[in-house]
Order: sequence, then structure tokens, then C-alpha cells
Amino acid sequence: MREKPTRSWVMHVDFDSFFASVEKALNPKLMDRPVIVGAGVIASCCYVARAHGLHNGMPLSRARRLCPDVVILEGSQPTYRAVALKIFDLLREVSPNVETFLDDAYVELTGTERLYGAPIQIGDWLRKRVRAETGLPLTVGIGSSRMVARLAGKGAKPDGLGYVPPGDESDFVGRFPIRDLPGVGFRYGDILERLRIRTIADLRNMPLEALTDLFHSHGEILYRRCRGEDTAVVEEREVPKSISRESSFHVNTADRKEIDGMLFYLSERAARTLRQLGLEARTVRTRVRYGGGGSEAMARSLTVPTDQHAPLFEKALTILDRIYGRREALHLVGVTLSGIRMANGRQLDLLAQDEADREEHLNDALDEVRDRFGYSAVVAGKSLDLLGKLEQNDYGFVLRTPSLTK
Amino acid sequence: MEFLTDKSDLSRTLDLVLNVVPPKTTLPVLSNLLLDVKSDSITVIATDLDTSISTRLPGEVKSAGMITVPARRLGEIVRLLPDKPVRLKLEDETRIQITCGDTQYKIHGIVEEEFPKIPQVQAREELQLPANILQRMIQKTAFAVSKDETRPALNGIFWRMEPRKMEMVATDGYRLARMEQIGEFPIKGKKEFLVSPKALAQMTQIAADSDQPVDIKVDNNYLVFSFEGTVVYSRLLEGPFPRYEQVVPKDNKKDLIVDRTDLMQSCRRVAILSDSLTHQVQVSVRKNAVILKSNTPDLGEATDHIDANYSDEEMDIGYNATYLSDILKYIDGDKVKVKLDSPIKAGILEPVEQEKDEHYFCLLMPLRLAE
Repeated sequence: MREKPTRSWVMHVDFDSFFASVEKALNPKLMDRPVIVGAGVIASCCYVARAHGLHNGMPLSRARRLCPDVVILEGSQPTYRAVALKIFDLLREVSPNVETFLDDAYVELTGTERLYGAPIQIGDWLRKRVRAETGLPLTVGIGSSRMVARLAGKGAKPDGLGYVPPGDESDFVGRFPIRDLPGVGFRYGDILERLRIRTIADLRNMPLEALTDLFHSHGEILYRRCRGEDTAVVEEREVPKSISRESSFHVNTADRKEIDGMLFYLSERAARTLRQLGLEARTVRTRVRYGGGGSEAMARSLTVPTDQHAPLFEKALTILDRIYGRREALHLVGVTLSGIRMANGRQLDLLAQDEADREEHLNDALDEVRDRFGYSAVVAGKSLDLLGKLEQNDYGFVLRTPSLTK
Repeated sequence: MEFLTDKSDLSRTLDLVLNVVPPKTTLPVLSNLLLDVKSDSITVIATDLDTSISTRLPGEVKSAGMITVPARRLGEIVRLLPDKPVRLKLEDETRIQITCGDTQYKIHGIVEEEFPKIPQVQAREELQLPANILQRMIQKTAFAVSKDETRPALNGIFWRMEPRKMEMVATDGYRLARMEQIGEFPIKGKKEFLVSPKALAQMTQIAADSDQPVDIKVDNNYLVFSFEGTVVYSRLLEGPFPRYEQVVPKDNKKDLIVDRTDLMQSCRRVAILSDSLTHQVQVSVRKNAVILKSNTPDLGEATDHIDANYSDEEMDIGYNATYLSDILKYIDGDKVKVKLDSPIKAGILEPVEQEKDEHYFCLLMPLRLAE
């Protein structure tokens, strides 16, 4: 039996304005210039650009107006992914338990003190190491739980190290605005602000019963979190819970060809991500938002999980037919794949295996062509209807929603 | 309308017909049973429009009439009644009074005009088959019927009749079960139907283990079974059922012979740690041995080893453990023969010794193991 560690430590690592920082590291001449990465809208925005009022999600045209000498780059996903993987490898040198996301990570430090020294020393060492090996700034937050670590980092941004000593969690956490508390999204944030709860400390005045009345079982979690208590563990999660691709239209549309084309394109991108990560999904959710407000969504499951585009798109389209009820132009359409698992053990079909094999070979071939010549090298199926309506670059159609370029 | 019957008779009759009553329906009257009382008979009828059942209820008729009563509600009531004679009486147009000893209920029915008519079947073909043979064929194939509504042609049992043999086949695309019975059947030429497993299950329940003949009538749209006063009407499914013969492998020359119970138990043991969705187990066929393995990152891993009779090329095949143990459950005898070809081709499972006058086999499609 291992000795139970007396104190738990979690480190949160955040890559400051990640894409823009990578571009600066690759081209040091840009170091002091305002740099943004994005197509259509800003996907990543350096701190120099932020000083001019630019922020993520802002249309590029507006960014140019606000900051005429801004450097706009289209970016390269494979490069960013490679850099992120390199940093994640460095994190794994200090702890085997690392939970990674797109541009941040949690590292479980509990029990590593005897090997690597105090958490602050580990954080310092790591920041220097990442700077030396990749040239990137890194913000590190250290605390007794995921939540405290994350908030500690938030206060130290950019390129800093935040540390919350044991015992100070409650005071430290209390100063942050209520919306910074993990688990308080837009909706809960609105409710709480209407109740004049502005900081995390304010929330402590609410009795447990009131919180559970408002938010049911989630209320108890918030009750504990606002006191600096968080029990969520760091999990080495390589399988994402869901993969989502959504986009608004440049101009709201009721043209079914354009809508179906967009859904085809989005589900094709999502399916390709599945294959790139070696995963398969079982549940498909389609969402629409109407131009005049209001949205509809529905999820349906396939009988067997897949990483192939055809069955996923077919399901997404069936759902679209059911939820797109109003005779009104759509502002946005999106598809989310969930029920995701490692692609292993696909059930072969007695009757339709030849067809499934053909589809698989086709997708493999498409993937290969797109890996070499860019996503736009092939435009397939119903997304042909997007030609002429949307611009294209090497990464595919230029969509309005920033998450799509990721 | 008024009649007297025994609680036990009523209870048995309801057990028989309630399976046909659809759990959810847009047509409220389908949740009801039709009581058709004539001066000399009481008939209870249920339908879901695809399958209908009509059966006789023993009893003493006081006055004739017809009404429909809420099926499940009546079932609940009867289940809890004391073991005494039950009187059902139509009080006014739709109100039915149920009296049993000191217990009395009044429930609302729906007028019988709204109840769908039982199909009139002009027999194109009529024959009699022993109930136990029919039952055996159904039981050995029904488990493989697909529940996937997007593949309607696979939602039934394919039944082919010829003068000298009869076969039933079912598949969900991942496994297939085929049972053939050799005999003399009073049929002209070759007849093929696709029948709902619900109607066939109903048939096996009615004629449970009896060696008496079942009367079968077929027309273009319906198949009708009659057995001792009970009649099941089943709308034939559209199909067409796939040409399954084309997917039955002909070149599976690597024979694995293994004790059926050993393999089934091993499969179940290892399946505990298999993935909850794919139920994947790896079956490694070695010289005179089979090794079963499961490995799921979050759960752990399991290995089991059983003796076998095998001398061909060694290979690792992935199977869905549920499908494999299902099939093993339906194969008779101590030993099972698995005819293999490659890890991505269907395996044929069959009893080493077939029963007299029958030929039974199942196909099982593997799971593709990750490289």
C-alpha cells in the first residue's frame, strides 16, 4: 500500500494566446507587433493586439479598423497541434497524470513533491523549460484543486505563475466574479446576477437549500465550490466527450440546399476529426438557430458507433428534417457527435460489408488527399452546394464561427 | 351482454392475448380487448393491426352482446381477484360491471364499432404442421431477428416451405440463424413469407410443447395459425428478405471443435470485462486450444483458456460476446463445430451432431480488431 499523501496539489497550465504565440515564436520579428490568427473572425489574439481592444471572435474587418497595423495570419493547425503535443510531453515528465485540452492542461502534482520539490519550483522549472524548448510563454496556476489552480492561473495571466497556499483557498476564490466559478455558465450566471450575487464570495451567503431549489443537484456542487472545495479529479482523458462543429451563415438562409450543404460539410469535418483521433461516435445531435431567435436541437443514436461520414450525416439530416419546423431563415446550423470511444472492434456486417468497405476506402482516400493538398482539394457531396456561396482556403470553407478553424 | 366465467380461465385467456396489445398507440381502441359474446360462445380479441389474436373463453352466457374493455386495466383487476366465479355485465352503452365475490368494479369501455375488423383470409395455401416442430424452428431462429427499424426487411423470420423441406432464417446483419427441417409437407411448389416474430412467439406460447397439429392458412397478405380454438392472424412483412444464401461462406475449411458449455462459460466469464457497447472478446484459436481475452481500459482485462480440437492456421478473431453466447445457447449437443476462414470473415457455428431430419447452423460476423 502506498502512503496516503497529506496534501493534494493540482497545476493548471495555460498556453497564453496560443496560436498567436506560436506564430511569434516561429517569426521573432513579430514579437512586439499585434498579431492575430483567424479566418473570418479572430481565433487567437496576442496581448499586444488585445491592448488595442481586439479579442477572440471579433470579425477581422473590425479588427483591421481598430488596429490598422495588425498582422493577420491564417494559421496552421498541424503546427499548433505539434507544439501542444510537445508541451504535453514536457508536462508528463513531472507527473504521469495529465489531462489535456486544446491549449491548456491539468497536471496532478499530488505526491510528486518528494521527487521534484515543492509545487512552485515545479511550476517555475516547467515555465523555463517550455520557454527554452518552444519559445512560448506559459501561465501556471497551482492550488489544492482543479478549480483553485485554474483561478490562480487566471490571476497571473499572461506569462505568470499564480499560487494559492493551502488554507487560503476560500479567501482567494471569493474575490473572483461569479461567472468565473466553474459550473456557472451563461444561464446560471444570469440567474445569480439577478439575485445580486456578483462575486464568488457573495454566493456563500446563499443557504444550501436555496441553491438546490434553484439548481437541483448542481446546487450542492456550487455550494461547495464557492467555498474553495472542489473534488473533481485530474483524469488523463484522451477521448473527448463530444466533437462539435457549428457555423452561422454569412447571411441567414432558408435555402435547403445551402443548409444541407453546410450540415454535410460540418459533419464531414467532425467525422474526419474522429478518424484523425482514432475514435468513433454513436450519437449525433443536430442544432439549428433561427434568424429571429430561438433554437431547436435533437439527438439520436446509431445502432453501432462509426467514424464514417455517411451514416453520421444521414442521421444528422434526418434530425434536421424533424427539428427545422418553422418557415424561417436559419442563422446557424451545427452538429455534435457524442458517445465517443476508441475505434476498436467495429462490428462487421454480413450483408452490407462490401458497401461499408467501399465507403471506408473512399474516406481513407479523401483523408490522404486532404492531408497532402489541403482540405479544399476535394469538395464532396452536398457541400458542392456551398461553392460560390463561401470562400475557400487550404483549410476548407471559410466559415463565420471561429471554432471551426480548430 | 352478460356472462359468467372462472377467474382462472379469464386470467389464462388474458395472459394469452395481452402480449398482442400494443404498449403505446395512437388509436386508443387498440389498448382495449374486444369481448364478442354470442349465445353459445365468448370470444376475446386483441390486435395491434399487424398481429391479431382471437381466443375462446369458457363460460356461461346470460345475454349476447359486444364491447371493448381496457386490456391492461382488466388484466390488473383480474390478477387480484379472489378465486371465484367472475360476472361481466354491460350496464349501459359502455360501462362494464365486474363482480367477483364481494368485489365490484365498474369500468368504461369503448363501443365495439371502433374496433378494427379481424382480417378475412381467403386461404391460398392450407396445411397442418406439428406444433412442436414449428415451435423448435421458431425458437432456434427468432433470437437473430433485427430490432433495427431502419432495416425492415430484417425485422421478420424468413420462412420457406417446400414439399420435402422447410426452413426458417433470421438475421440482424451481424449474425444469422438458419434451421432446416426435412419431411413431407403438403405444399405445392415453393412458398416464401416474411413473418413477424411477435406472431410466431404468440404461436409458440399457445401451442407450447404440444405435438398436436397447428392449422396454417396463408393468403397474399396474412398468415393465420389456428390451434385449439385460438387463432393468430399475422400480416406478412414486406421484405424482400436478402438473398442470404450468398453470404453463407463456402470456403470455411478450418474446423474448430470445442465443448459447447466450456466455450459458453468462458465467453461469459471474459465478457464481464468487455466493452459495454461492443462486448468485444478476442478469441485466439491455437493448436488444440482457444484463448479468450477481453481488455477494456477503464475496467481491466480477463483471460481464459479452454481445450479444443484444432490443427489449422492460428488466428485472433474479435467477436461480440453476447452474440457468441446467444448462439451457443441455441446449438444442441455437447460439442460445437466452428468453421473458420479468416478474422474478418463470418464463422459458421453448428452442432457436431445434427438432430435427425434437421440441419441447423448460425453465422457470426466478427468485430474488426484494431491493428
